[in-house]
Amino acid sequence: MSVTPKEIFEAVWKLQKKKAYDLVQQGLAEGVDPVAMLKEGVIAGLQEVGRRFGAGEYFLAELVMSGKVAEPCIELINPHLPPNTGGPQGRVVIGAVTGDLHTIGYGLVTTQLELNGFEVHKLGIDLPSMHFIEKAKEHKAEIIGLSAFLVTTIPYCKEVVGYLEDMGLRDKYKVIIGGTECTADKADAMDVDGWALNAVASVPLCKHICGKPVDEAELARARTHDHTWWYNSRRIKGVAA
Amino acid sequence: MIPTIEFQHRASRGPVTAVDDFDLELAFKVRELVAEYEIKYDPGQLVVDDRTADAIFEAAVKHLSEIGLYFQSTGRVIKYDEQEIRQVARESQQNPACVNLGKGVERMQLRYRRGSDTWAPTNYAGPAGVAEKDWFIPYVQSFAQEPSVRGFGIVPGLAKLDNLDPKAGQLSEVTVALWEQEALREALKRAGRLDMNLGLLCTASTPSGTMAVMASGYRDSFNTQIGIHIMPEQKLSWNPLLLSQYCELTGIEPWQSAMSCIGGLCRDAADVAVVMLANALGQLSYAKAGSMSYFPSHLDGTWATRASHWAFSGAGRAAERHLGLAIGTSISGIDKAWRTPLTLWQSAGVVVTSVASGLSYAWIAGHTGLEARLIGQMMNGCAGMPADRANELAQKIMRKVDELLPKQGKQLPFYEAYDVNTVKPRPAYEKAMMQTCDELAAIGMPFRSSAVVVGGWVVAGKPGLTVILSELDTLIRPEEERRVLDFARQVEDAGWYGVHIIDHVVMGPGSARNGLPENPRAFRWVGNQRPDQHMPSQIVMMSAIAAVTSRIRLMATATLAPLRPPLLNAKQWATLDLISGGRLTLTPIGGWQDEEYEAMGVPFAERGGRLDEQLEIMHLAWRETPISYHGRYYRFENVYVNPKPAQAGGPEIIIGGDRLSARVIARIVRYGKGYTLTSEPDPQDLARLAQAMEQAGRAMRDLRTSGLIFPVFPDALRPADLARSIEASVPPLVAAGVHTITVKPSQFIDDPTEMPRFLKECGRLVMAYC
Repeated sequence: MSVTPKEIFEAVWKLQKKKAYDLVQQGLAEGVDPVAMLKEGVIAGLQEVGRRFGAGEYFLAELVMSGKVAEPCIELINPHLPPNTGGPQGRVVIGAVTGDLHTIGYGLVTTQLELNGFEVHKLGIDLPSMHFIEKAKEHKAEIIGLSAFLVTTIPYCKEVVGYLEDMGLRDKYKVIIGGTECTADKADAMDVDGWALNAVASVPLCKHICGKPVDEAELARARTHDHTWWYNSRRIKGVAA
Repeated sequence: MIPTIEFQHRASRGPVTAVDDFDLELAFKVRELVAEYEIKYDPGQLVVDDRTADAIFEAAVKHLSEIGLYFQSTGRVIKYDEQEIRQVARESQQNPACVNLGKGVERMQLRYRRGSDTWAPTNYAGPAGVAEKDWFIPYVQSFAQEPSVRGFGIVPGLAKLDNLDPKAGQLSEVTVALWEQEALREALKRAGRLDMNLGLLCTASTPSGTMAVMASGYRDSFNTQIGIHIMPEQKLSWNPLLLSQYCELTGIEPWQSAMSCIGGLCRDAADVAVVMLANALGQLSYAKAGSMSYFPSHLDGTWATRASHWAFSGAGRAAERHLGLAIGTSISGIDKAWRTPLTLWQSAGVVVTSVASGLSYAWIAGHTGLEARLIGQMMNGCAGMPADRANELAQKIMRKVDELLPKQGKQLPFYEAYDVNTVKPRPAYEKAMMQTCDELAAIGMPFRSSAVVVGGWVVAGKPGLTVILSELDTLIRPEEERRVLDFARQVEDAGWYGVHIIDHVVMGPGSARNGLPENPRAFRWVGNQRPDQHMPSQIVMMSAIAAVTSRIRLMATATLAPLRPPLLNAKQWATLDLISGGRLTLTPIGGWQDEEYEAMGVPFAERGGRLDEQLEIMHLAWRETPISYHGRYYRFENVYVNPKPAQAGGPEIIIGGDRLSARVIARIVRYGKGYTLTSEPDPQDLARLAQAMEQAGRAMRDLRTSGLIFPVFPDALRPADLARSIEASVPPLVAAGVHTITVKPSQFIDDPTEMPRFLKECGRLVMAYC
C-alpha cells in the first residue's frame, strides 16, 4: 500500500522527524504525486502545528521543531516538483537590526512564515544595515524583515530603508518591522511596507505584500492595535490565562 | 561568583551550537525537569508553597548545569558544573542583599525580604516606557513629588529628540541620553529631590554609550544601576559581561533581570519559573549584585495574568528560600491599558501575589505618580498578609480583571491623565483611580496610606543625617573658623545629608539674660547664649562650604530674614542656590533678640509682619521678572532680580517657629516644604495645620520634619555620651517618621581631629535604630 499525504501530514504535525522523512522518501519511490505530498502532507502538517500553536496546545519549541521536521522533507520533494508549482509564497530575509540582541520575536515570525509556505532566511542578531540588503539580493527575497526591540535600535530600521532609497532599490524590496516598541505609527513614520501586531499576524501581512490571496478580515485584524483578540486567542477554552 | 575573565575562556571554547538547537534543548529539558520534580502550575493557588519553591530551585540548578548559557557573540554554549552553581547560590544566601542607593535623605535600600515579612517592599517607581520631549519632565516629576516613592528603578526613554533618533552605539545614543539626564535632573529639582536614585540608564544601553554618559557626571554609583542581564531564554553576549566588569570596577550596583516568556519556548508558568531562576543563577555567576527583577510575561507582552503571578511567586519564593537576593518586579498591567482602571486592577493582582512571595522592591511602571502612591499604599497594606489570604484576595482581583479585559479601552496618555503644567492629576482621571481603589477596598484590598504609615519614610529608606556647624566655641578657636570647611567635607565624605549654619549678625548683652547652660556644649536657646560667642556670617560661610562640597545640602538655619532688605536676601540666596547646584534649604525666622534688631535699625515688633512680606517678596523674586510690590514695610516697582535659583520656584523653605501659631501655619501652607519648631507641637495645632494643608490642596505627608539628638551629659564638664544620647532621642524620631535627624558634633567631641570618627560612629549608631 503506497504512502498517502495524510500519513505525512500526521507525521509532520506530530513532529516525528524520521517518520516524516521516511514517508516522503518512500512516497517518491512509489511515484506518489510530489505536489500532493508537499501541499496536503508537509505544508498541511505545518499549518496544523500553527493551528495548535494558536490554540495554546503547542508552543514555540514545537514551532521550531516542526521547521526541522519539514525542512528535509521539502528538500527531498523540491527536485521532483513540476515547474511553477509548489514554490514558496514568498522569500523573506529577517533578523535583528544593529544593537539588538533579542531573538525570540523574529524567530517566532520566521517559524510562522515558514509554516505558511514562505522561504525564510534567518540572518541573526545585531546586524549592520547593509547586511540585510546584501542578503536580500543573494536570496532574491521580496521582503526584508527587521526586528527591533529597543527605542535605541528602532532607528536602524529607518537606516535600512534609507540605504534602499539611496541605492535605488526601494521599489525592489518590501520592508516589514516588528518588536515590542515597533508600532503601526512608527511603521508609518518610517515609510516601511508593513507592521503586524505579532507573529501570527505577520502571515496575512506578508501574503498581502507578496500579492497572494488573503482574507481581508484577517488582514484587517493583523493591523489592529487591539491586543484583546490575541490575548483571547491564546486562552484555552475554559481555562484562564 | 565566577571571575568575569573566566567567561572569556568559556565563551571561546564551549561547544559550537546552532541557536535553534539550543532553544529546543532548553525547551525540552525544562519540560523534563518540571515533570521530574513534579512542579505544576496551579491557577487556583497563586502563592506557591514551600515544596514547590524548593522543587523549582532544584530544577533550575539542574537546568543551568545541563543546558548552560548560549553565547550569542561566538555561537558557543557556556557550560557550568552543578557544584559551581550551588556555590553561587550559597554565596548569595550567606550574604543577604542590602543595596544602598540614593544620597542623604534620599538614601534607600533594596533588601532581601521574605514573603512573610511585615515591612513593605520599597516603592521603586519607574516612569517606564517611551516619553516625548514635551512631557518627559512632568512625567518623571509626577513620581518624584510623591513622598512614598523612594527612588526610580527605571526612567523613560526618549524616542526622538527633535530630528535625532537615539541609535545604539552611535553618537546620538549619548546625545539623547545626556538630554534625558538633564531633564531628569530638572524633574528632581522641581520635586526638591535631587539626590534620588535614578536607576537604570535607559537610552544609553551599549557599553560605550553607558560609559560616555557615566563620564558626563550626571550619574555616579549613588544614583545609577547598569543593566547586565541575560536575554531570554538564556542568551548572553559580550555587552552584559563588559558592563558587569565596569560595574565591579566602579562600585555601581548592576541591574539584573530574569525574563522568560509563557507560551514561547516555555509552555506555562511552571516552565517559566524554572527558567527564570536558572537565568538568575546564570547572572549571579558573573555579576556582583544583590538585586534581581523577575519579568514573567507572555510571549505577546501580556502581563499580570494568573500564570505570570504564579511564575513570579514560584521563582520569588525559590529565591527567598535559597538565595539572598532582593527580588523585584514591575507592578503594572498591559501597556495598552496603562493609566486606566484595568491596569490598576492588574497591578493590584501583582501586589497581592508578589508581596506575599518575597517582593523586596517594585517598579510602578507605566502609571503616574498618583498610581505609584496608591500602589504603594496597597503594598503597605499587603505586607505580612498570610499566603492563603493573599491567594484568596488575588483570585477575587483576577475575576474582576477577567471581566474588564474584554472591554479594554486604550492607554491614557500621561498628558491626558495629568496637567503637565501643574503636574497634578486631572479630575476625571483621579476620580477613576479613586473609584477603582474604592472597589478594590470593597473586596478586601488593605490600603495603608503613607500619612498613616509614617514609617514609610523610615522603613523604606532612612532619615538623612545633618550636623550643626555653628556655635563651635568648645570645639575650635575663633581663628580656626576655616576648619568648618574641613568639617563640611568630612560630612560629605561620610555620606550625610547636610550641614546647618545658624544666623546672627550681632549679639546683645541680654543674650545671656536667662543664664548660661551648665555645660557649655549644651544647646543654646532664647536668652542663654554668650554675647561673645563667635558667629561667622551665615551666607559667607555657606558659600564657602558650597565651594568645597558637591553633594551635601546647605541648610541655612534660623535665618533672621527681617534684619536685611528682602531683595538682598532674595538675590543672595538665589545666587547661592544657583552656584551650589540647587542645594540650599532656607529656614527664615523672626528671631528673639530685640537688641540685635535694634542694632540693625529694624523695629523688633515688626519682625513677624516683615517676615511675611519677605517671604512673599522672595517667592516673587525667585519666580518672576520684573516684579513690583506694595506692602506695609516694603515697596518697589518693576525691578529685575536675576539670576533665578537653581531649584525651580526657589530654594527649599522650611518654616521655623516656637509653636504652630496661626501665622506659622499660614507660612507653612503657603511656602513650606516642611517646618521646624523649638517646642513639641500641640496636637490641636497639628490638626489645624492638617486642615489648612488640606484646604490648600496639600497633604501633611508632603511636609518634611526633623528632629534633634539631645545630648546626655555625664556632668557639667565633659562632652555628652553619644550612645546614650542616641538611645534617648532617636527611637521616637524614627517612630515619628522624621525625614532628617540633626546632631551637633561640638556637644560630643572637643577635639576637631575626631570629627571623621565621630561622624562614622554616630551614623552607625543612628542607623541601627532605623
